[in-house]
Amino acid sequence: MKNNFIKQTAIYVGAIALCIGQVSCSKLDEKVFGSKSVATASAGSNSADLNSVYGKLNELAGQGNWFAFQEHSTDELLGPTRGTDWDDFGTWRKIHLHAVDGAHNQLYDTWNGLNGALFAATLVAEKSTGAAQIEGKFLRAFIATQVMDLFGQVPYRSATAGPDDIPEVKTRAAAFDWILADVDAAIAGLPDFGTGSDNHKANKQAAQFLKARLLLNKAVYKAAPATPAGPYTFAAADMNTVISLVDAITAKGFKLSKAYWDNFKWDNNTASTELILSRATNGAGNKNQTGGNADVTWATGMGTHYNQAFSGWNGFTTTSDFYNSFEEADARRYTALPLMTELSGFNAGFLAGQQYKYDNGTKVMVKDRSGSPLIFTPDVSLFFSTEAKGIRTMKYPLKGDQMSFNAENEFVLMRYSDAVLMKAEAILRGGTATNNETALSIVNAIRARSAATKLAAVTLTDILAERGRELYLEAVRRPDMIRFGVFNNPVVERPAKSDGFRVVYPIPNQAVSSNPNLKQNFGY
Amino acid sequence: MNFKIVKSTFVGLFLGLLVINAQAQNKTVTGKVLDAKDGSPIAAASVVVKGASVGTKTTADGSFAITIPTTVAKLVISSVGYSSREVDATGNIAVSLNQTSNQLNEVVVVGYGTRKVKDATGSVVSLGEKSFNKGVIASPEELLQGRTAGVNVTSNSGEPGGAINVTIRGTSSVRSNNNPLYVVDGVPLYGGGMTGSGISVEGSTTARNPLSFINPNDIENISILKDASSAAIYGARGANGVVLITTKSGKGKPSLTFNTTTSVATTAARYDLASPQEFMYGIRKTLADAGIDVTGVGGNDKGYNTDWQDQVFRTAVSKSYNLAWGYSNAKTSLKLNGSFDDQQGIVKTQDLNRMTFGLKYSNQLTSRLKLDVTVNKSSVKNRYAQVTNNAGYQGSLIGAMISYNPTFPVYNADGSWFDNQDGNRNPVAILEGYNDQDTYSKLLTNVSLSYKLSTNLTYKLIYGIENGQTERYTFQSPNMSSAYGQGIINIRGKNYQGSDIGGHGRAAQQFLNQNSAVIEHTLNYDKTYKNGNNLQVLAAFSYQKTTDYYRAKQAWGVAGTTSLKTSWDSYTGGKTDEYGDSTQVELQSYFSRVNYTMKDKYILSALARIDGSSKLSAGHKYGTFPAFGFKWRILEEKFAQNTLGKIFSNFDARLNYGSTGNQEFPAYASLAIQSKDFNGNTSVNTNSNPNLKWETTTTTGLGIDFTMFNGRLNGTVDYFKKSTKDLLFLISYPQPAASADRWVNLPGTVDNTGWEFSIDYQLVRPAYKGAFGWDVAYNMSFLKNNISGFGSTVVNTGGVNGQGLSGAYAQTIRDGSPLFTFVMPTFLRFDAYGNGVYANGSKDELQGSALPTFNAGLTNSFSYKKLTASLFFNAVTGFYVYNNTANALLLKGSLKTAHNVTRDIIYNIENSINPGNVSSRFLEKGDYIRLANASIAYAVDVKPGSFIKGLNLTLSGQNLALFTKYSGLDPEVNVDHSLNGVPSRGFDYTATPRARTITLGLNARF
Repeated sequence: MKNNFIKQTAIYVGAIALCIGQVSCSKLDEKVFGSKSVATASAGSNSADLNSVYGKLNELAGQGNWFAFQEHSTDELLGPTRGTDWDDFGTWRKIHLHAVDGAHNQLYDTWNGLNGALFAATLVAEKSTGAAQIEGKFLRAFIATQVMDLFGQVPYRSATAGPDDIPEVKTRAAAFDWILADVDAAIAGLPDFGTGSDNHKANKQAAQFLKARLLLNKAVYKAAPATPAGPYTFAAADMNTVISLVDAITAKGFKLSKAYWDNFKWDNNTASTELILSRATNGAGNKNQTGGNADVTWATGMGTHYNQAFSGWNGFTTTSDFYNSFEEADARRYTALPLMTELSGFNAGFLAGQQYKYDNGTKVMVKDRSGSPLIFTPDVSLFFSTEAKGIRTMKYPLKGDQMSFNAENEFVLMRYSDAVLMKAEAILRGGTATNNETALSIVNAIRARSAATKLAAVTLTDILAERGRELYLEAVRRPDMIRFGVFNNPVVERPAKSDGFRVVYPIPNQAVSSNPNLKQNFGY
Repeated sequence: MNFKIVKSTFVGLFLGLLVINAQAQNKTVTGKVLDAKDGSPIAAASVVVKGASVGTKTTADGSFAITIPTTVAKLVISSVGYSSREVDATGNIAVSLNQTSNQLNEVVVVGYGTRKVKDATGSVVSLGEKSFNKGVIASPEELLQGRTAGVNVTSNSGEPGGAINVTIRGTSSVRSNNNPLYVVDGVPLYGGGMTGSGISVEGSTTARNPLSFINPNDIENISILKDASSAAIYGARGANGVVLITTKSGKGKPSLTFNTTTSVATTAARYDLASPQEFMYGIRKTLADAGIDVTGVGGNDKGYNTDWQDQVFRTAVSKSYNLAWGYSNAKTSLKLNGSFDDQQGIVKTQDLNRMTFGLKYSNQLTSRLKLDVTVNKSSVKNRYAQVTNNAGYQGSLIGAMISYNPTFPVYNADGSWFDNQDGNRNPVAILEGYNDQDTYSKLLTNVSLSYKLSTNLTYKLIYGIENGQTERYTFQSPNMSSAYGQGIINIRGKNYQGSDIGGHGRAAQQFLNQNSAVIEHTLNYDKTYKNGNNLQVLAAFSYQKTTDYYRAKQAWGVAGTTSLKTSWDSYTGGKTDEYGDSTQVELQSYFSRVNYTMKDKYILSALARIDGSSKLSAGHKYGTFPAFGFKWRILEEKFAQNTLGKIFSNFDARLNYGSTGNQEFPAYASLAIQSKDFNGNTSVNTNSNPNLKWETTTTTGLGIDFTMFNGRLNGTVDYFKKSTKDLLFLISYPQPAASADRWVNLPGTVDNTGWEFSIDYQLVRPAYKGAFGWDVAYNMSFLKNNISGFGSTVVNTGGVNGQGLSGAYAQTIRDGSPLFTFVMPTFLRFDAYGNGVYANGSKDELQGSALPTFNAGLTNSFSYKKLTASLFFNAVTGFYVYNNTANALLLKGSLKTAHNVTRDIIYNIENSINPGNVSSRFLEKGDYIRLANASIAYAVDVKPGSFIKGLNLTLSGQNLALFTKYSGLDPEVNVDHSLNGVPSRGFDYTATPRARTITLGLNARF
């Protein structure tokens, strides 16, 4: 009986084991399908990987994060709370007030966004070979510059790092040298800017532009961590290098566009002669850009009122001081553009006063949501603004019949007039003038194009002001004000001087706690 | 068989024989013995002199007469299946006996088998049909709500078939849902969401309830394994408890049952919105107070009087039909079941249609071989209204309904939707401009063969398949303006544009296929030894593979038409590439359980399960989950009989301990995944973790079960402590990296400790069959949740939606606080200017948690003659609700922009430029008591032998009354406001309101 039981059991246990063997006994390896695959050691080594790094640049075209940190902290832009609108947990207000702390939501998003792009670029720069590798290095340098500029320290994870390796952290000064090495490799290896859509890809002139920008700001980036706000000392040798780099760009045929707005309006892809690096956007003709498209409608929508031809978000405004720094005739302040103004009521530049739109061809006044005429006024309160307070901006003019989310405008990352203004500044900072150009002649050429009166003389202060008027909302205002030592000074709706350490943003709290090599920036 | 009764009867008889011989004076005692439950007579009950053997038996009508010596003071009445009773031996007496022994011998379904109640070592609650909630039931969890201690069922909103949260013994997971594992007739369900999210007007929607495919009428029993010693048999999937659903099987002679119900539902509460006059007054006053010119204000008054709530809500009529036929004999049993449900939601266009078919067949093929087959097939059609979780300022349907100008008409003269061209959305356009429907069909089959290898050893093979297919189509009318969100379409990095996207209609199709196959081999050894001890040994292997495949496509542009087209082929303007995803998960387990019952008083259960999941890192795929349970039936001990035995007729103590895993986290969490977008670009999107291992929950529990007052009172008290560690969580990963975070096992513990009490008390016993009877069932649970060892990690969740609230959040997960603790500045008052004043410089402060600390359910059941009635109250306290609806819409500033508000806002002192910051101003206590269910049933007399064997009529009501101080519609609400995938709890934001429902039901047996 007992024997029988054991025998039977043995037989059936055996049978079950066999059965198990047939139907399953899986190794439990995960299977991945469709567009997904398990990343292999070669990830980063093919052109599809490079293209996705270009795609990450599109994220710079937005109203928040990187853009907001570079602009809201200055005299160019602020995000007033309008009753129930735009309080947004104080996220805009804190940037303008220089009160960003490690818990700021956009700080964390920006840190992750830029560093994610940095890692994707590192994979290409370290895994691929030949031309792709050089492009990868350029892109890595461009992205790392943004990290260094905002956060000071730059973390680095190599392409072959293990999943539990903790990234090393470069100080701002070390990061500067590291980036510059990549830029020099890019200048040596990248092809010259040719024609067509070369502005959508890494090119030698873009690398030269990046190097010029780095050297111009070298004193800032090399400042001691405890005195990040300077005073800065600019080396004449660096300034001369800036000048020669700008001259090299000029030599490739870049010149000022005929009209200022040619650089931004819907056909800037063909009308502008200044685009060194830019991203195509959603327009019907721009479908096949490497890395997908950027979106500039934020630039319009962030300010326009709900009831305007482009129904925007009635958000950000410029400050009255900045608006008043333009002469009335300055085309950069106000230009009525054919194909836009007579269809939408918008002008390029700043939107001030009574707003209009067209209703079946008839020009009508735009009204606010309570039914009163919509009149944008320069006075604005950061905490308590009503619907119509503040002058709005129209930096990327939309074609009158494209008042929707398919804008065709190129999103500008590097522009020639920025380059020549760098040259003018470098001359004033001790560089030697070349090509019969002086700081004054450069500035006046730029002013003349926009019908602003020519200056008799030019100082560094004038350069900063001119860079503001020429390059507003191009995300250079914060580094400019820092370099000129005025970033911490009071501006409209920030009445008190801020502490010097605020020229560098804090490292997000989550990043500090996830990486023991990261120490919070001085002062925070 | 109750040994005690047998024993006492025998002892009594023996002593009685001794007494008979004695000479004495006699008296006669008469009486009647009745079943305590329903008052029916008990025939052949023995009536014996206490301490003697003199006795008699009751006649068929339960009456007896006994002549005994006058010295006899007590009689002992007993009957097999009833507990015995002592009565005074005087005059004419009526004695009621309780069927207590039956309750202890009742069988409960536990994992991989059944056990008698008296032998169950863990905390298992078993609910039969009688205890289920009645009325319109969209899915099985609704049957349970409030009925058992420690099981918290919360429906997220009033949407038919909408998601329901079930938490058993507290929330232990910091991520994803905390829903238990559902096992239907032995097959563990896949449990994934059942539909895509649709293209809605704005915001996302919560996945549908995956259980709504089950026909609630077909459920015989629901067992809930609350403790780890019971749930551990389901190892890695049991951490949140296990709900075992057993469907009905054929019993006895062939019989046909027909049920039908018709119900009427209305909104239980509505928003107290301003009338057109009040609204215009409010705007004028608000603008004048703010010093704004009011000359243009009149333009807001279009002169109509539209109650937008009337436009959106309706009186919903729902019907259900259920037909079942079944029989059983010595060898086979068969049950067929078909049902049809047509449920209307109280929001127009919300519908649920369900057809189900069920077959349950069992055949003893040979003396050794038995076949069981279960087939459940159902098809559910849902129609959706555009009610979303996280719409911005324009709102989805309910938000628009609240804030849309009441002076606006519904339609223009030409019949088109009125649109003021101001960016606001006409709620009726949202209702009528979309056609959003899905159909999901589900097949759940289960075939098992068991073979008796020897008297004691049985082998069983189970093969189960779950196949679900969902098709969802969403169509948007070409007449909808840009305010209804008809922008560019961006999918996987690619933008689709064209002049025909906006304003020419759009369509989306989504498909979801889910397949799950389970194969299990079990070997069961069951032996009862001569001394009565029993040994059960289970050894088993289980393998489950689930795959799902989601794909979707969008199209736009209906040529030459301006009406809403509801056929995919009409959209010829262009379409996107098809996009989608597949995932596959495998689980493989080995487990064994030993149950040993000694002398009917010591019961031991020990088990171990080794679980492997493909989701975890190589080398960490397997986890071991042990458990044990011990029960001591104290009254079986001699020493206890004279102490505890005086008070209790049954007294058991239980101790259990066990660990379980949790695998509710996404597949591929441990891998670095590279993916390709529609532009052909590839990038690595996730960070790998080679050390990802099981999260485990360890539960220790103590409990007692007792019976008092001769079985009139049954009670249970439980204490438990549940600790979850190695928390699987998505957390910041050091940059630079492929993505911002990765899955890790966090240090830290989530503790849930609690007490559970439940009592069933027969307050009034019917003196005879048909006499008045009153039963009270009460359960309550106290729960405490806390996180410890979390370090400095702070995870924010609970995004607050609405205008001016981008980036806002209101909840936090951090050390030393319960999960879902609210964090925000403390609102004090409005200052003289009507601006908010906050405590401590507007600093974020920890507020209460959204998790209730107390739950109670009280059921009163009455019977009288042919009538039975029950009233069920449910109370939940100790939790907070964030009124996001008020935060986003019900502000003075809304009036300034001509948005309607509730009437109290018009007259409050808030300044119109006061921003609606997240603050405790909108955080409210959610405590409530609800008359959740009431029913009255009448059993119609049927003549014996007639065609109809039984006929019952039932009238029931759901959600009949709500007592709460919460200012929103209903504090039982949970709109998903998760942030970065971290779940939220306790947010109220323009959800579908809950209905009040009256149902008339008829049940006939043939």
